[in-house]
Amino acid sequence: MSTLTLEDVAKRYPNGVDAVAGIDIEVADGECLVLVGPSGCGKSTLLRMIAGLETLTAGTIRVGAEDVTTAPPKDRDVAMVFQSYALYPHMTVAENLGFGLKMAKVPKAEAATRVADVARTLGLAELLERKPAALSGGQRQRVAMGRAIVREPKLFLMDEPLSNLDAKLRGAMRSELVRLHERLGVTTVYVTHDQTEAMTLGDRVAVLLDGKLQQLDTPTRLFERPANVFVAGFIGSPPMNLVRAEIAAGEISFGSHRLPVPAGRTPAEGPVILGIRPTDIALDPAGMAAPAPLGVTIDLVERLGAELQLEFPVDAPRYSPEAVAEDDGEAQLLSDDSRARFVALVRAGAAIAIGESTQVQVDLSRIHLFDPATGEARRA
Amino acid sequence: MSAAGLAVERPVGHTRLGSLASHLLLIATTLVVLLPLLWVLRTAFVDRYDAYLIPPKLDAPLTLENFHQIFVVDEFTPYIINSLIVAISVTALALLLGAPAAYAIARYRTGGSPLRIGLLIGQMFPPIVLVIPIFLIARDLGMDDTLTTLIIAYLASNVAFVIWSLVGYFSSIPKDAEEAALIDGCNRLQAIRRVLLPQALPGIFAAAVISFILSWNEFLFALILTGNVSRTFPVAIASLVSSRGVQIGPTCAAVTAIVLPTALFALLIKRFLVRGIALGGVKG
Ligand SMILES: Nc1ncnc2c1ncn2[C@@H]1O[C@H](COP(=O)(O)OP(=O)(O)O)[C@@H](O)[C@H]1O
Ligand SMILES: [Mg+2]
Repeated sequence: MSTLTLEDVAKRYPNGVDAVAGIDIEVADGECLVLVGPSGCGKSTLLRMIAGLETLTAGTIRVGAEDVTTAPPKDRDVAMVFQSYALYPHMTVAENLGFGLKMAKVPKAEAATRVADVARTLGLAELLERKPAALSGGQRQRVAMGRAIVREPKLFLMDEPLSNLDAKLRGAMRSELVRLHERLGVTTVYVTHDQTEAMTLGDRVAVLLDGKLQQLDTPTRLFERPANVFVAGFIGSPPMNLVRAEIAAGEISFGSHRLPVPAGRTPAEGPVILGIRPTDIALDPAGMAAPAPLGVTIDLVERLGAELQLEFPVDAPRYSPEAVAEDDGEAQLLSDDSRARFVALVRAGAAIAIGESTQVQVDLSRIHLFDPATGEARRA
Repeated sequence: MSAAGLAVERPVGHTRLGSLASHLLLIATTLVVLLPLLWVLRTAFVDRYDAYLIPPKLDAPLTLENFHQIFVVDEFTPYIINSLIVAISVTALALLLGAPAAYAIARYRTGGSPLRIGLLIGQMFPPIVLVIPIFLIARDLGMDDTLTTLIIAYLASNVAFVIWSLVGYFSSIPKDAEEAALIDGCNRLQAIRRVLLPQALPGIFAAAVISFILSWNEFLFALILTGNVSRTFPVAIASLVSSRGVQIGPTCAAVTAIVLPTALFALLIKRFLVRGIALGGVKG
């Protein structure tokens, strides 16, 4: 177990792509840090640099107090779970699990005990003599996990380890990973493009875009105080409703809609991007700190069990940062023009009139304002 | 060898008649290819008189007289040993030089496409264009009629062949497992030996067999570069076809002997490649 320090780490590939630029991250001992971001944002590159599989263009990497910037992978005492699992196809499960111990010259008897222990923990005991080709996807995934765990390294590195499992198995493995991390307490860097996975697994989450760190924070703070409009749109499901708006005379207006500027805030007048979480819109103002009505026409209701997902058009131009555009293709198909569509998550039970004008409540104390030029959050 | 194997399964929708026709066609084609070889085999085992008989006598008594002629009377054994030395050395050296080069090209793109294309262009010269200068150089160096010269000449083309076939094979093996090995405590060479090589074995074995057969059968270079000391088996066989006529019996016996290792390897390589090593470490 150990800390991990990244100082001003950068990677430019020979083809000129700046995959990672100026990353400063400190991972505490025993912490699980999740790197999250859309595909191609440099997550794998950064992880591979920590592992020693890619050289750095600039910066320093330290494991504990030791500078490992130029150390070969074998001298870093890290274990990695690959997205492809990367099992040794010619070895049995037992040999796969024990390979790292064999290379570390751990005595045979001890190695055998450790392999057996890990195999039992992960439910692989019956499969020890099989080759990877004879395993299911979920079993291969567990062998890949086991191969990392058995080494008892200073650092776990995981590159989208669950992305090739089906949804149900992924959910189960996610909770298993949380338990595993709590029990082993090994410092972990976990890469995923799935924000739900990031929010459930990470003690802290680092959001990356185009190789640059957007925000590094606890899941709660990422959700409640996104640093910029990209993080706001990327974190949370369904994503935050974003719309171009105008602030003037104590009012936030978008299209024909008006909301008062929240009490205690003094945002600069002029154009702004307004963000409202689907969970901060309700039919019933009870329980809201600062409810304000919004007149809308609900045209779509989806029943999700205990909750209803309402959708309604708002009379203002849509704003979609990259990630929202990517994740939300379906919603865009539904909208027949470039107007924004809002999504609200409300408790089931209320009677809802589809297609008639009605009022929803917005919790003003929880709305987000972003600078339209820089995308940075406006705190004032 | 696989064509016959594939024909066994009758595709859905084919009529019995169609299948019969295609089988007849296959049998006919196979006979066209195999009859000369079978006839060589038969001629190798009958005596001088029966070998020349027309029409042929199908129940001629079998004899080892022709093998006695080439191995004991004509003393072909040294030529066979020469051929073995050349083929084995060339194969070993070609793998030793070619496999690491192929690894570097496959994993690090060493040399880029100029190197790959260069390797290919080197193979496009007609052999006769190359053999005369090589002969002249060898003579000037006082290295004519040596096995070393022949080995070097063969290496030039065999290394290129080994590189070409192994670059393709190595590239088809995902590099993830090697990277996992690096993280599991291997250095680059250990990762190659413990993780890449076991997966690449069928490909390396196939390249070795083909390299061996290419050298073992080669005639043109051997004819021009070798003399009494370094003569190889194919050249020795050709000497049986002399101005005094063709000694058909001993020639067929020698041809049988030279085809034998090739045939054995063909069987082996088929079994080995079919069995292969199942690639299952990386999910597909
Ligand atoms: N070996 C490479 N050579 C050149 N560019 C690369 C290489 N690997 C990745 N890239 C580029 O670097 C960027 C980041 O890639 P990657 O780290 O794989 O992203 P992620 O894992 O977040 O999807 C991408 O634009 C990708 O095309
Ligand atoms: Mg990736």
